Amino acid sequence: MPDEYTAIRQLCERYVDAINRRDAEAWIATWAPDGVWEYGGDNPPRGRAELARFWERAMADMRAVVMLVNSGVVDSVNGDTASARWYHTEDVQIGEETRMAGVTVYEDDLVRIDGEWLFAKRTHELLYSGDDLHGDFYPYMAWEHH
Amino acid sequence: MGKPTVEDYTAIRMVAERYVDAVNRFDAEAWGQTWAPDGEWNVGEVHKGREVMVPLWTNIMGSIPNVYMHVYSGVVDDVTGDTARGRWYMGEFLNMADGSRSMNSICYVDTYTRIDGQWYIQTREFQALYRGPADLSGEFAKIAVPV
Repeated sequence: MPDEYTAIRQLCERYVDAINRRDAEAWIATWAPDGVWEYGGDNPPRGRAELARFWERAMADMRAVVMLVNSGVVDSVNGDTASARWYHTEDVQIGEETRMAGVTVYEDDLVRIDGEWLFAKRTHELLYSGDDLHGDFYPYMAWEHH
Repeated sequence: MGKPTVEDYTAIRMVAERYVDAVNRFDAEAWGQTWAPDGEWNVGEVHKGREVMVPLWTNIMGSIPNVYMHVYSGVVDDVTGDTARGRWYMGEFLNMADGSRSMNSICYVDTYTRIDGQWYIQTREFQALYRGPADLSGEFAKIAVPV
């Protein structure tokens, strides 16, 4: 499965690159036309038009962001669908005051359309947020092994 | 010495990433599956065999409230037949039971064995590169790579 892993990793790296460069068009292009962004709040945006509006709101107050894809696993590939999860580190400044270092994991459903993998659904989970690790850790809720 | 193909590099990278994913999810079975059945884990002392390592790992993990590991970079040096050699640089966000926190940088110096087309960790030696707080006020160490 190394070919699918690499193709899906490239999609994830394009996603964070679009955020770091604040390139709305490149970010929206990583999503399937009916993709859903379960960002952890109410009314998750569904479809590229809603995703574009969500991006505008989320980025309006974002002074700085550096998001990196570190590790990930592609669990299964069945024809033109796949599931995966990816671990990130994120450094953000929101407004004047708030600076935060975080660790996140995204649980993904992917779909291959015309030979290209796209996000059908991304589900965000925060694993750590804070400053200099004096902040709060959170258990990885999607798994029961803890 | 054999130069690794792109496919070998990617397949071995996937093992390194499955390993940290198993740590992050506290998944002993998935962690055990990254090792060759007679694998050797060197963390100062050597522990050999899945049946020895998995209970030990489960015991260690039971005492750690939170740990999130990342694979940053890595190298596959050599692939000869069904054996390989590589190393992976990783980050570790750690919250210990005594309340101490650290953001460590570590290196795993590895050998691998391919069994039925799948790469497994044959030997893994832990090396700390930095241990301490995120503000870099902790201890650095030099990496020693066996030639």
